[in-house]
Amino acid sequence: MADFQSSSHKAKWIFPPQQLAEKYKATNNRAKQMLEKYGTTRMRVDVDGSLSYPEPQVNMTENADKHSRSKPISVEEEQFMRVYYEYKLREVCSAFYFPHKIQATALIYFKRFYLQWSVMEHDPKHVMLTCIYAACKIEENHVSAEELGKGISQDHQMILNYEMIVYQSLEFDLIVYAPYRSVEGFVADIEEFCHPTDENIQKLKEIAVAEIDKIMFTDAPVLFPPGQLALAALQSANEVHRVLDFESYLRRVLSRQNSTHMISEISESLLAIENLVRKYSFPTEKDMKHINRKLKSCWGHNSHDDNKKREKKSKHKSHKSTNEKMAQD
Amino acid sequence: MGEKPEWLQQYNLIGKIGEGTYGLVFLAKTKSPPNCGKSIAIKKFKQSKDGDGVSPTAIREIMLLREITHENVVKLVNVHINHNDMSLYLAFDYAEHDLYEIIRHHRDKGNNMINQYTVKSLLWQLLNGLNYLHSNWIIHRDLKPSNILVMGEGEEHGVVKIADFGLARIYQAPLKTLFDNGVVGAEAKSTSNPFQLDQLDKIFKGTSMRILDYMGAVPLSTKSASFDLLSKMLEYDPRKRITAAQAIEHDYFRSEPLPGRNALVPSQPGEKVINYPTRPVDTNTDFEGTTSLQPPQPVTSGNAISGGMPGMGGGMNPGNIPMPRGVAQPHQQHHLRRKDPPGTGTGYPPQQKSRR
Repeated sequence: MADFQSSSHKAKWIFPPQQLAEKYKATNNRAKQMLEKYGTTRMRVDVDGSLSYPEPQVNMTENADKHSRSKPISVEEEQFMRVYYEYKLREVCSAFYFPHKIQATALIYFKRFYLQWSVMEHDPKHVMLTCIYAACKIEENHVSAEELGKGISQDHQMILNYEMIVYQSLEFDLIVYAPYRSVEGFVADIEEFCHPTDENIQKLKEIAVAEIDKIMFTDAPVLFPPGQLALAALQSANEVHRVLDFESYLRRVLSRQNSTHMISEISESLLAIENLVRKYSFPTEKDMKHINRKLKSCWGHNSHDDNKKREKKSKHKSHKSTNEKMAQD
Repeated sequence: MGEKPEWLQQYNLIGKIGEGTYGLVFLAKTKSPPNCGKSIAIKKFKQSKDGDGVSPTAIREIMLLREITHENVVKLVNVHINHNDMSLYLAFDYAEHDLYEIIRHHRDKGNNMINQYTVKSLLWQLLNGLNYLHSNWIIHRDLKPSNILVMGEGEEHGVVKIADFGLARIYQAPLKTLFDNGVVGAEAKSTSNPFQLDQLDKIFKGTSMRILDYMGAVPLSTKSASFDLLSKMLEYDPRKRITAAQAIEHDYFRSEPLPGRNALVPSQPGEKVINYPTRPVDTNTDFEGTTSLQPPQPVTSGNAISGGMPGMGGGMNPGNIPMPRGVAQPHQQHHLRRKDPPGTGTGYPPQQKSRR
């Protein structure tokens, strides 16, 4: 594989935690402002893949009283939405029996996309499917949009509409490094390092891969390089199924790489990754209902008849002002 | 016909300079500072099959070029998107020459032998670029003379640029083939295409000795370093074949004349500098790829590149015939663009009209 050291992945898509938090906050704020200005947050994607801002809703400023205003979702709720659709993404990939690599690539695309946009601006369902479609194209596992759409009974035109926006949002940096391969590399190296039995090393690898699956659902892939994600997974696996003295193995890795990293720095990163996995939480059904309701109104579905009833219902519940609501969350 | 996309306003379009299965290539000049008047090649990708979304070839090329930077690899300076038909336009630094035209120039001019310094410098730079790609596990897979560009006059005069990454692949495991490289080396040396009549598979079914027999016309002593390098690059067994990394260290490149950065201008005084013809530009084709219906205009300085085209008799394409480049690839020919009846527009699937 091409060199990670000179990759766009390393240069552009790994962020310090503080910066990542700011990015999420910034996109969330932008969408909120759009909601205030236009009464809707959803960017319109045309058949030709171009983006347009919503039309200002005429009756917004004058007629609409406070309680009919849509409520934005919070940064935390955005996170829940992403988590939910990342899970869906993996489900879709499994349903199609796509190779691991595609699922991982699509997942990274999805995460990167939502560093640029708020969930309120682009429906994660559409983005999720388009990321899968794009990952298939990039990894040369060609599946037509139609096939993909059919398989999950979604309109494939939406995937095609979104495709260019996804590439653009990823800044055409489409080669990504998933940690699965790094795990393989380290496993081969560990075999050399301590000559474990085949059974032991297989077991270790198996657990580590499962651990990577968990790590991929967190923010870790946009915070740490794939090598560190792999080491974190192996460290966790080694705690479950002890095969080696991990610290001395880490020392060996560092000394060989002539790395400027201190062992303490690496250990800290690995710990941070483990913590992300530990803190990971999946939204409850109730959470999702609540967020989806808010999102629907953000997306300005008011005009559609089928949403009117729901809209009316939710109006009563969401009487509080945006600020109050935020404070509650 | 669609309106001109907004991004196109930043360029002065000169004309079409190439076409292939992927789409069309245009020559343009930047309008505004800092690079005012700089020549840019704009590669327009066809939309892929209806319902297939963005052209995979275009996407592959962009994604690879986003990851690589090397003096001997073409430089992608911009990506433009035409939302009307979802087509992609890649803007590259323009290269005036390519190996196909350089070889053709020598072949057609019989007695005009290619300068040994030039051969060596071109080959070295090509191998240097290839070594970079291979060490990044990138295999070009479509290396041929027309994809090996050479920069025209300017700061990078005579520098080789490997182009067209539409078929390139990035591999996970070491691959040490120099398959494509051997072919190009032989062509540059003999200034005639030894493989023109044969398909590659036929060639590689033969032994390497047979390939070297083939080149009986090539004035190479079997004891020369160039013969040695060539036979190592043409080794049939990829495991035994010389790698790009080894090849650039070969004795051939350590003997006089030493390879240089400007392959077109020999460093020794007294050596003849050959003025290779500039690239023919078809100024009758607009950016939509539509050929104008008017009878061809006489060449005026108005729309031709300044300085005209020395040595290019008929370079202006007076017959208004599509001018495929890199013509010798038989597998391409029936893919070459279908000729539309006059006036039907772009030669692409009907565009979906913007709703606004």
